[in-house]
Amino acid sequence: MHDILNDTIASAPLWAIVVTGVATLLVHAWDEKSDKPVFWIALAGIGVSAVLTIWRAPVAGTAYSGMLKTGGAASAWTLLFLVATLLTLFIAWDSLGKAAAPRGEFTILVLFAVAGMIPFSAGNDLLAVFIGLEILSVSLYTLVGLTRRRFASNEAALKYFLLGAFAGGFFLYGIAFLYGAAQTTNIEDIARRFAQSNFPVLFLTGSALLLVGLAFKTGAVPFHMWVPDVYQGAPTAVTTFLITGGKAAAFGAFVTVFTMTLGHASARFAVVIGVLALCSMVFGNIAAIPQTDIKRMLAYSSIGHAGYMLIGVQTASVEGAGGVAFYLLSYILTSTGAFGVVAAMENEQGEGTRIEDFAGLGYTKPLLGALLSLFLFSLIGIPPFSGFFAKYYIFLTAIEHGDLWLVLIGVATSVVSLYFYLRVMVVMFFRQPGENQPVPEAGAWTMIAVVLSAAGVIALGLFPGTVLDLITSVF
Amino acid sequence: MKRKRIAYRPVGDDFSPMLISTSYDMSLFPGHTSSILTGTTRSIIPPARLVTFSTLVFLVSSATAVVTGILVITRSSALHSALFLILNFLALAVLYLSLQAQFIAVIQVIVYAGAIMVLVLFVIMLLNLREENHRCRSFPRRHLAGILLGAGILLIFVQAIIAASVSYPSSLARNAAEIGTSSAIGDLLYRSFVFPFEMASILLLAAIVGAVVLAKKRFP
Amino acid sequence: MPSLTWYLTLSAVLFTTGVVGVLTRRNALIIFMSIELMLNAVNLTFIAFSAFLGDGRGQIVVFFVMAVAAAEAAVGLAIVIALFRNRRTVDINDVNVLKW
Repeated sequence: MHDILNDTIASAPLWAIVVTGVATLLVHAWDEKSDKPVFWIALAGIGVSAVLTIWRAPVAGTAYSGMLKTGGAASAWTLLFLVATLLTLFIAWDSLGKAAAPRGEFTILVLFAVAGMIPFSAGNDLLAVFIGLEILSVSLYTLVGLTRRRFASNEAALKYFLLGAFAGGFFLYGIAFLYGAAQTTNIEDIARRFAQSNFPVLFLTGSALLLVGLAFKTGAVPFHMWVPDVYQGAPTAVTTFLITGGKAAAFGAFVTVFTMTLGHASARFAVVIGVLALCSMVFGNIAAIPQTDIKRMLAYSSIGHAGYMLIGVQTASVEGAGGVAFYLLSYILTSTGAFGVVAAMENEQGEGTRIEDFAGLGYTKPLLGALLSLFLFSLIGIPPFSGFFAKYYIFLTAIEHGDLWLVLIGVATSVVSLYFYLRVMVVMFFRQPGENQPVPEAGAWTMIAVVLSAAGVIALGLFPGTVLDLITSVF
Repeated sequence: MKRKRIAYRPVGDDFSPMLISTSYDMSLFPGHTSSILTGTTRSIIPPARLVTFSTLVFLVSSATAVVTGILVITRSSALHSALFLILNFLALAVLYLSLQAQFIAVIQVIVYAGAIMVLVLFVIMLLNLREENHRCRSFPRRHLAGILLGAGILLIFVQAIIAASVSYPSSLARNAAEIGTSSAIGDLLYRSFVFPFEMASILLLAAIVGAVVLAKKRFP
Repeated sequence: MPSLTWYLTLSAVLFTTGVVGVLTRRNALIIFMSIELMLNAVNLTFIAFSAFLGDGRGQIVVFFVMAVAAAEAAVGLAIVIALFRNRRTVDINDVNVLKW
């Protein structure tokens, strides 16, 4: 009994989210039109969870007989998810309201998804990681299909579901092999058992299968085929959540399972992860060039960004993990900002996301145009914005680790990415708006999210060292 | 009819574990208990025939599993696939029994072959699908690619399994019958695995909300 | 008595059958059933390891995999129904508004 109490306190951030999710569900079941109370309860729950996360951060340990990591690095990941969720909820309030999509159900499912992200990224047992992955996935499949009358949304949900469940099967098979090799599913015990350099073949096969499952979730090439369709077809608010929270959870799990715990195995797999990083950077940034839809373009560019983060993962070091977390923070802020502007551009049917629809935005809506440019500059990695330092730290770690080849390709692909990001800016500032092009109206909550993101991007650009030290100190 | 005893073998405290495993041993699997009793039973029934029998159970159920598995992925009607999948699950349940995992075997039949597959069948009937239309009659190139890829990964798996086989135990663990009981599983579930157990409730809740959101007739 | 290798090999064969099903079929429901086949193959691996190693945790994992399969079935079939209401199809060849 005493143990359960202690464990519950240690994992309080998770339970705060779970309780909030159930509370919103009950309120919404009581009154179907209660979108507003549900929204406020969710904001309050996220706030409470964030406070609890910061409170537990200095005490790193495990809870529930070694099932779940608490405090320390787990806190860093949890905070990332909470930031992403908060900004997504702001954008969703306006964006889903416009599309007449169910906001209450969206909020409930987002909270459940976060409840899955935490064990997925902070699980200390492969079973906990798997259950977390499935809670996250089941919530996301539903969210992607949320606007049921749009065929693109149905299609995206179906593709995401089939491919996600397929990848989940590989992940599970990997767990089975590791269990057979180590007689346990506890990650730390597995790592301890195979601390020597000669790994049994079952262990290697199992780890490789886990790698497939994780690479799928991160959207790395060659497991990226779902990314463009799902990101384009999903409602924009959900795309924002996928690209921020979803990506953060996947990298959190990648770092937890591979870098931090199976450190030795990770060194063995460094070349494989490096190749994934290489393919993702090259493919993502080149495939983004011919895109005409900005959601699809940002989806392909997210594949490239996954590649940059994988460079940090493959170093299998604390600095690399801290770099990835910093990159994710920067990427979450930048992406929510960019997608906030895209959500404001959309009409009721979810149209208006073609790049040519942005023509003249720099004149008709100077603030939105300027902010979108800021986010695009950050995505390219131009100083003094956060995206520059995010890439810089990852590249620096990789050079110290002796992976100059990856860094060179990273820099080269960043130059390539200049082309398609700048093209949007050219359209915004140097092209006249079309005849009957609607003037976008950004809602108040969207503006709050976009301005907060912009402030974050600038602040991270001004004080990158402080934030990075703070993040690295908990790993 | 000694093999009937496997299915109806009482679980719990009325038999001592030793007695359970011994009675089990006589009927299906010799070779892994070292009690004196086993020695005496072996002298009654010739061991060679016993080995043949347990192998026979494996061969029949694994052949059923493989054949029904292939039928699942080759039938053009989803309904036929679903029925063969149920048969596949039943074959696996027999294999679980042969591995002395009684609780899981029962759940496999009740929950998997029962509840989940009934849901699938229900949806198939609800949608009232026609058979998959074969627009291209010839063997599509996609199929060849899929089969080649499948053969490749199968080769990798089997090679890994065989390479690792030197480290495997040669027979079922001595406590195999005890760990498969519902009391042993419940004990683990509510002690060491209480966290995943709690999270599974969140998973099911999320799935219920998801199914309602996606499939309910219309929003207010 | 069949050895552990037999069980694991059978499981690998069933898993691969599922994989080939996913890769070759176009009917969403049959792809879904192929994935169920894969999950069941993994369950067999867990049970086999559990019984031969004398460790109950493998069976616990299978217990959870069944819960996961139930949850995925509910959501996946709901997605199929939502799709079918819009387009009267479950063939993923017909599902290509977005580039596949």
